[in-house]
Parts: sequence; C-alpha cells; structure tokens
Amino acid sequence: MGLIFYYFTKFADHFILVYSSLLFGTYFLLATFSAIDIMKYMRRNSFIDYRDILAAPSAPSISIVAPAYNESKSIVENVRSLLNIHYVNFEVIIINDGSKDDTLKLMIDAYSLELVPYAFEEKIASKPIRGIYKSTIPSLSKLTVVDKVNGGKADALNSGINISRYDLFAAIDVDCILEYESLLKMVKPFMEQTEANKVIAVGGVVRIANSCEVNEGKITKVNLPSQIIPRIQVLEYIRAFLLGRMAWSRLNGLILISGAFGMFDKRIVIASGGYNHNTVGEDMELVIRMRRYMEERNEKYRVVYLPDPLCWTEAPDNFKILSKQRNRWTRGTAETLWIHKKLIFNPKYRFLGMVSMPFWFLFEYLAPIVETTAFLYLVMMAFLGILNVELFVTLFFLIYAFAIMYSTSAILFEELSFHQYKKKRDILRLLGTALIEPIFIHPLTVYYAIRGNLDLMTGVKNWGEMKRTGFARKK
Amino acid sequence: MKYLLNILLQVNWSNVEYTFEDIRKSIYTFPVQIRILLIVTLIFIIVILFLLGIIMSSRIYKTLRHNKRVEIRKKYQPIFHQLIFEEAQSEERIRNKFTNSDLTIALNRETILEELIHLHENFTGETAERLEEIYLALNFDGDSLNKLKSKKWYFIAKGMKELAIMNVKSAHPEISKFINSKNDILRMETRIALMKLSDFEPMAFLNKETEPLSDWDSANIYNMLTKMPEKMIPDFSKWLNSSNKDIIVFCIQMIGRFRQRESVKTLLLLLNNQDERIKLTVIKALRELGSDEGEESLLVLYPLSNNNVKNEILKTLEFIGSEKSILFLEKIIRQPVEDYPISIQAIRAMIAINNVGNKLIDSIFSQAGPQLQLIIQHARDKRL
Repeated sequence: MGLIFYYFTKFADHFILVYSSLLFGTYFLLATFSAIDIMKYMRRNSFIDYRDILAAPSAPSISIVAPAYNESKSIVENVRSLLNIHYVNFEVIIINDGSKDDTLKLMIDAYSLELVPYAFEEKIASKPIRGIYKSTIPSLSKLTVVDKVNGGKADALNSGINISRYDLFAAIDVDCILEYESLLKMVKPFMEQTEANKVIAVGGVVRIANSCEVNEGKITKVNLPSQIIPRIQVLEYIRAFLLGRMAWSRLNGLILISGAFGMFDKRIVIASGGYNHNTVGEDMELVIRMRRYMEERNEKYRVVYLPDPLCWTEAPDNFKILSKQRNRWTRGTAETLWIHKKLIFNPKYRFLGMVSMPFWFLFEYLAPIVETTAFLYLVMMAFLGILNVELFVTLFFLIYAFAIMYSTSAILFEELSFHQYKKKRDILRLLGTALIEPIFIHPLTVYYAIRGNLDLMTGVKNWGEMKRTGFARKK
Repeated sequence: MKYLLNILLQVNWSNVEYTFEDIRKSIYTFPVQIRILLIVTLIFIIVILFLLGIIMSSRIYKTLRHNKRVEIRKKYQPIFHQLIFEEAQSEERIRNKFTNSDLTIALNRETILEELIHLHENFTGETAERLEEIYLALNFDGDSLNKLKSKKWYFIAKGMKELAIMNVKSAHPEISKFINSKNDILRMETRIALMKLSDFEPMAFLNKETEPLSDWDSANIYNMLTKMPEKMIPDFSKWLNSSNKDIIVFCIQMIGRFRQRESVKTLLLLLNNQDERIKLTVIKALRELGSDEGEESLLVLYPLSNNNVKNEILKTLEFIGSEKSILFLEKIIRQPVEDYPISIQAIRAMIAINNVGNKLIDSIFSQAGPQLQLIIQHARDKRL
C-alpha cells in the first residue's frame, strides 16, 4: 500500500510539472505567433483606407442579425446604434425572441413598424415566427424586426439567418457597441479571399465598455473600468483576444468567434446546419461545425481574426453575474467538445483534429479541473504531513511569475498596437491588476468553472440571466 | 470551502520539512528539479522587467514623437502657409526657410515629410503643385526612392506611396518593377502608384499582371479610376482575352460600371464561358449597361444554369426584359416553388416589364394558392 502511495505521489508530482510545462510552452508559442501576426497586421493596415470600400460597388452586402430578449431598457437606443453603422449595403434584422416585456411594442412605436407579407424558406429549423415587421418610414428601410416564439439565442439567430437576404451575415449581441469602421474591417478578409482559399468566418476583438463614455450609441472616451471585477476582465479579454485568438488565427486553428460579434459566410453556415439549440456554447459549436464541414469536403478555408477593437460590451461587475457567465462558458465548452469528440486527436481533421481541439480539451476545458485536483492533492499532502514544501513553494512562485509575465506581454501588445488606454495611470493600474489577479480572482473563476461542470452533470441547461446596467445611463 | 479551510488550519506546519528561512539558507542543497524551477522563475522575472521596460520606453517614445510632431508643425506651419499661398520661390529659397538640423536629423526630416504628405492629401490643384515643389526642393524624392531599395516591403510601399502622392513621374520605371511582387499590399500600392503616375495608359499594368486580383484589389483600383478624368479611362474589352481570369472578371465589371456599351457583343460571347464567376459578372454587367440585346441570350442560358446564375439572370431581366420574356417568366412563376428568391425575382421581372406583366400577375394571384400569393405580395412590397 505504502509503495502504491509512493508511486502515486511521484506520478502526481511529475504530472503537475509536465502539465504546467506544456501549458507554459503552449502559451509562450501562442504569444509568439500573436506578436508576429499583430505586427504584420498593423503594418498592412497602415496602408489601408477603409473608406475606399464604401465607394466600391463590389462591397458585399451584409445582414446584421441581432437577437433581443427582454431588452426593453435599451432596445430603442441599441437599434438606432446598429442603424447608424458606417457601411453602405446592409440590413439590420432584430429578432424579438418571445420577450416577456414590451421590447417589441417599444420598437413598433419608435420605428413605426407594421406587419409585412414576408415569404421565406426555413433553411434552418427554428421556433415559429409570429410576424415580420418593416417600417413605414422610407429612411428606415434597412430595418426588419422578427417576432417569434422564445427558443433561445441560437434559435433566434437561426430565424434571422432564414430571413436574411445577403450572402454574409454578422451575428451581434444587440447591446454591443460597434466601432465606426467595424463592418468595413470585418468584410475585408471576405473581399480578399480567393477561390482556392475561402474565408468562412471572421471575428474581431471584443473590448469591455464598463466606465467608458458612451454617447448616442458610440464610445466617445475609452476608460479603464473603475471597478476591480470588470478591470480584471479587461486584462483577461486582452490576453484571450490579442494573445490567444490572434495566434490561432495565424495558425488557421481558431475554433471560437465570440457570440458578441462575428461575421459568417451564410452558405456554409446553412450547409453546416446553423446554430445548435442544444448547447449554451452555440458560438464555438458553430465555428467547429463549419470547420468540420469544410474539412470533410477537403476544401481549403480560413477562419480569420482581427486584432482591432471592433465591438464593446458590458462585462459583469459583480461576482453573482460573473459566476453565471463563467459557469455558462464552461458548460458551453464541455458540451461543444462532447458533441465533436470525434475530432479530438483525429488525423483526418488535420490541424483542427490534432492541435486545436486537443488544446481546447487539455488546456481550456481541463485546466480548472487539473488546478483544483492539484490543489486538493496538495491539501491532502499537507494534511498527511508529507507535503514537498520546496516543490510547492517554487512551483507556486513559478506559476505566479508566469501569470504576471503573460499578462504583462498582453499589456505590452495592447500598448504597441491599439493603445486604447492612454492615461499613464491606466497602464499602472493594469499592471497592478496583473499582480493581484492570479491570487484573488483566478481561484474564483476556477471555482465557477468547477461549478459549471457540476451543473452540467446535474443537467442544468439554462443561459443564466445576465443583468446589465445599460450604456445609455453612462453619458 | 469552510471544510477545506478547517483542514488547512489543522495542519501542523512545524512538521513540514523546511521553513521559508531554511529554504533561503539551503537553496544550493535543493534537488536539481527545484533549482531548475527557481532558475525558470528568475528568467520569468527578468522577462517581466524587460517587458515593463519596453512598455515604459514605448510610452516615452510615443510622447517624444508626439511632442516633436507638434513642435515641427508649430514651427513650420507659417512657412508652409507662406510657401503654398504666396509667390513661387526658387528651390534654394525654399531650402533656406528650413533649419539645417531639421533637414538632417532623421526624426525631424521624417516628420516634415509626413506633414507635407498630410497637407497634400487635403489639397488639389495649384496648392498641391506647390507642395510637390517643396517636396522636390527638400530632396524628399531621394528619400522616397531610397525606400524603394529597402528589403522590407513596408518601406518600399511607403516610398511608393510618397512618390505617387507627390507625382514624381520619373519614378514610374522603378515602381513598375514591383507589379508582380508576392506581397499583396505592395502589389496594390504599385498599381495605385502606376495609375497616378501614368499620363497615357494608367491601366497598362494589366498587361503584365500575373498575380491574382481579389475583390479588395478591384475595389481599390475602381476607387482610383473614379478619381481620374474620363478621357483616361481605357477600353476594358482589350483585356477580355487575358490569361489571368481575375483580370477578365475585373474588366467585365469595369465595362459595366463605366457603361462601355460598345463592348456588349464581346460580353455576350462570354456568356458561353465555362467559368461561373465570369458568367455571373457578365450578367451583372449587362444589367448595369441596360443592354436589351442580351435578353435573348439570357433566356437561352437560363435552363442550362444553376440557381445562382438563374437568380442573377432574373435580376437582369427586371431591368432589360421586354414582352419577349413574359411567357418565359410566367412559366417560372406558375411552376411549383422550389427556390423562394427565384420565384420572387421572376415576379419582380414580370412586374417591371409593363402593364401586361402587371395584369398577368394580378390574374396569377387570383388563381394562386396561399404560398404563391404570399410570394407575390412579398415581391410587390418594395420595402422587401
């Protein structure tokens, strides 16, 4: 028994070391790829005048699809903001997903909407549509409002896709604030694609708008959030988007485009079956299914990510909402990985099967579980009085130093590229946040992820209500 | 959580092999594994300090550069104003207005050049010509030409852009060397520069172009063409035999946009091309040209086409269709609905023909089932 326990502890010590080393190595590689790609992107971008696309008759038309559920507080403002997007050929489709409040009525009144006879083919199955509305005001011709039976975000997006007229669609959270040139930037990779290498989806960086000044649906001044919880998420978002997704985009291994804002080739989305109703991680699931569709047909394709801050969203500012969000993210990742388990380590799916999916499984999904297990193991060892303190202390400082180094790299990338936080104080506050995040907030996010797994096992399926303060108040 | 905390509090830490002080003292006696971890931690700390250094330096550099720009702008604004709006002056007199150090220190020189370029983007005509004279007098053309010799594509592109903006026509041969560069941005900048600097044949680069031309490239070239005098717009039909398919597509688009009606016959021949992209572009161009001579060819092509092409044909018939198309459209409308956009488009094409088409739709509506009635209502609603 003693021998078994001895080998168990040896194995556990080595497993923790190997797992940490692999994690560090992968993150280091990702950061390197990101650095190369952001630098390349910035250089290329310095020669581009996006206004030229506006004048181009060949600029593709875009359908903006935005689901709305109980959004009465800000729906009128949000729709106005979407209608004011800087682009020529686009339509805005708002899907009222069976709101229980007066979201629909507010839109009908504000935009003089009336029911229209709309003939469309249901290419992707979705809950019944009660009515389709258009405005009687000619200047609002770009707006279409769909009223449907509640079916969740994925279902609402599918309805929007069925109604949409154009070949490209942008899925967006209705309360997001888009940057002035965001559609122009998102459409560029589609215009650059070749017949031999199709672009099937484009994602952009989502930034946190808490504490930013907003006027008439536009960000007028970027501020670092004054509250610690959203400020930590600023750091997390910079890390995830600038260091993570950019690198995956360069490697053509990206499997997640944020549900807050992404643009897709409608033909491929429909052919892949549209958004999946049975997961709360419908954004990630769709991208994987689109990639899978292309891989199985042996077609060359790309999923592109842009480092520009294109979309601003309100982040949770208290632990209750943060816990719901992280819980949902964990369930979404787990469900998606389970749906596509066939791909993991499957050489038939090339990079997707051999690198992207295993990475997400090992280092995104399993990381909180490994962390918690390692923590419990250390507690057990301490309890038994056989804790290898040297290893524990050195490993703790190593991980802590790595976390700070990784966050500092993210801050550096942000500083050298988009330089959103211009005040000197902001950089110092971000660096301060990097120091405290691994100790004070990270354990909580790990806990929320574990709760997410437990909820998944007990069959929890809901999205978890995300109460938002709303931008309109922060003028 | 409380349970875990209780366990931790119950641990007798004095039993633990090392205290922090022991660790400090006996660092060299640690096992290799631990020492490696310590070294890696130390490396991470050094990297953090290095990254912090870069962040701070970047901030300082940005501030310095900004201040320099403000200073130079403030210093030379009255001089630029004088040189632009007052009498023309000799090169030497222009040079004398600038401090020698500002023309020799790289950062200052680059800032002056940027300011000149910026001003040029906001002016045309005589004022722009004056700025070009200042550019030449201060030998900035040499700087820009030197950039063309760089191995870095972004320096070359920058130099090219400067030469094109400042209308340095003598740089044409140097710039044209990059037309088939493997770098797409450089290729694009080359095309734009050549278009700006050519007096007679702005699109001559199409003869040499072997690399792909994306929609993005086409949009940029079209944008440049719209800024050119009409007499400079070439006859695009001369490239319709190009070996580069992207060029053929681009030229068909331009024929449509610049209403080059004399090329319609050639376009009609291209309707038989096997390539779907070429076919679709021709159908769109016929629509833009309002070319009713294409109607019959489109009616022949329709049954042989896929839904994509069919839809595009119907859209064009909405603009060029005549009574010849009525029977053909009626047949499409009356057949069972297979594809909504095609049915809707056929009805729209029918309505657009004339009163006969409209009356026929009324009659079809009265006999139709609910699905077709909805489609007809949809097609008739101009908001949809």
